[in-house]
Amino acid sequence: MSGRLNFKYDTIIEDAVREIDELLISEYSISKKSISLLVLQRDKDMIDKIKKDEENNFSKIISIVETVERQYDKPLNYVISLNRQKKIGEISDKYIIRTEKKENSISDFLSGITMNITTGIPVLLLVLYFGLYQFVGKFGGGTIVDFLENDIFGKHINPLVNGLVSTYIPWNWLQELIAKDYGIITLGIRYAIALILPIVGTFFIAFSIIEDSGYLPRLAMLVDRIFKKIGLSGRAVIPMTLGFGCVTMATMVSRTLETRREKIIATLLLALAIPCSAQLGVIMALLSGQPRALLVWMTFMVSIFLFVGFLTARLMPGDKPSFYMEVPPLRWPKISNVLVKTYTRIHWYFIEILPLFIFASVMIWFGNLSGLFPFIINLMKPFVNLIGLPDETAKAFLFGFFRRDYGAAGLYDLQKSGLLSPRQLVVTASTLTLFVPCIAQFSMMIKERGAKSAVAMAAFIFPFAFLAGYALNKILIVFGVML
Amino acid sequence: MIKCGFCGHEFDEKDGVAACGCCPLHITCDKSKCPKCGFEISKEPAIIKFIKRKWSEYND
Repeated sequence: MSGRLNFKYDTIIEDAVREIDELLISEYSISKKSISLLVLQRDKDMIDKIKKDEENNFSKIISIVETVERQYDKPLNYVISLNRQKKIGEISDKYIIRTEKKENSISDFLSGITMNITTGIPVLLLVLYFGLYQFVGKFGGGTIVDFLENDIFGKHINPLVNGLVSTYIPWNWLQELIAKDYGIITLGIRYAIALILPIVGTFFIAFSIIEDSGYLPRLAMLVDRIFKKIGLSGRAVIPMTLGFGCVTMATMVSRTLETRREKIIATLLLALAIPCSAQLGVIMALLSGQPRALLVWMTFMVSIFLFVGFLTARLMPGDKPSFYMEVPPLRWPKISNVLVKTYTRIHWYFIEILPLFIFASVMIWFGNLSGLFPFIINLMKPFVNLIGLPDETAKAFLFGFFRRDYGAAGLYDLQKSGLLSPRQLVVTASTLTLFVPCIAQFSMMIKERGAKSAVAMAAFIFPFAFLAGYALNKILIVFGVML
Repeated sequence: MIKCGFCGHEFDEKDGVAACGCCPLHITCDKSKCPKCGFEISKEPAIIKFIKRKWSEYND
C-alpha cells in the first residue's frame, strides 16, 4: 500500500511558499512548490530562470524571500533542511527499531567530548601538544633533523662534496654551484633531505592518524561557532586543515565553500596565517627548545588569523554561511591506512619540493655571481632592522620570497650559528609565516579568485607581515617579555 | 572505491580525479578529491596495489 506524504514546513515557510506559488504564472516541468522552495533557498539557477520567466512578478517574489529571511537568524536553506530532517526523524522513528550497542558507548562518549566546546578545546590542545609539539617538533624536527643535519650532512656528505669539488673542479663558479655555502647539494638537497623530509614525514604521520580516526569532522563542528564570527563556517575546516599540508592545494579546495565572501576570506587567511607543513615543522623544530617562544608565536598567529578574519568579515558584505554535516563514526586508525597515506603524501611532497629547492639554489647562486643577490639583501636590510632583526636575516627573508618553507629553513641555519636571540627568532618566524607561501600558491590565487583579488591580497600581505613583525617586536620589548 | 577521510563518503576513483584537472600540482599529485566535501584523499600507490595483487595471487 502506498500513501502520499503529507509534509508541511513551519507556518512562515508554508505561507511564503503559497504567496510565491500564486505569483508564478508560467508553466514549469516541476511543481510550483518545489520552485518556491528553491527560490527561498536562493538557488542561483532557479532565481535566474524566474527572473526571465516571471519578469513582472520577480521583484515581488524577491521581496517575499527577503521578508522571510528577516524572520530567521539562520539562512533559509538551513531552516528548510532542519524542517525536512525533523520529518525524516519522525518517519524513521516509526519504522526503525534501534538497539543500544554497548561496544559503541566509549566511541560515542569520546565523540561527544571532541565536539563540546568546553571539553573539545582541551582535547584539541592535547592533540596539538602531542601530535605537533612532541612528535613533529621535538622528535621529527629535533632528534631526526639533528642526526641527518649534523651527523650525516655535517660530518660526511658536505665535507666529502666540498673536498671532491675543490680537488676536481678548477672553476670557482662551478664549485659554488654544486657545493660551498649555496650549492645545489650543500644547500638545496641538504634542506630538502636533512631538514624538510623528517619534518614533513612526522607531520604527515600525525596528520594521517588524525584523519583516519575521524577527528577532522568533529573539529569542524567544534570550530563552526568561532569561524562564523570571521565570516566562515565549519566547512572551512577542510581548506584550513589541508593548508597545514599544502596551502596551494588548500586554496583550490576553498572553491567548495558556499559563498564568494567565504571563498575570499578563506583564501586570504590561507595565504596569510596558515603555515604549510614544511614551514610549520621547521618553526616547531626551531622553537621547541624554547616553549615560551613557541607559545608567543602560536598566540600571535591565532590572533592575526582571528583579527584579520573578523575585520574582513566586517568590511565585506555578503551572505551568512550555513553549515551542517553528517559526522562519520570515530574509529581506531588502521596502521596500514596511516602508512599508505603517509607514504603517498611524502612521495608527492618530495617530488614537488626537490626540483624547486634545486631551482632556488641555482637562482641564489646566479644572484650571488651577478651581484643581484647582495644588492637585494642590502635593500632589505633597513626593513629587517626596523623590526629589530640583524642584517643576516635579510637572507632568510629573500629565501622566503621563493617559498616560505625555504625561508624557514634558512632561519634554521641562522639559529644554529647563534645569530638570533629568542625574541628575534620569534619575530622572524612570525613575519615569515605571514608571507605569501610560494609562487605556486600565488598562481592558484589568481586562478581561483582572479588577478585583481590575488594582487590586492599580496599587496596587503607583504607590508602587513612587516608591520605585524614590527608591532610584535615592540610589544615584546615594551612588556619586557622574557623568552 | 575510495572512502573520504573527512565526511566518510565513498566514491569511485575517476570521480575524484575529475575535480583535480585545473590544479597546477596535479601532475605529481597522488590524491583524489572527494566530490561531496572537497577533502583530499591519498590514492593507493602503485607499489601497494602491486604487493596486494601479488599477495592475493600467492594465496590463490
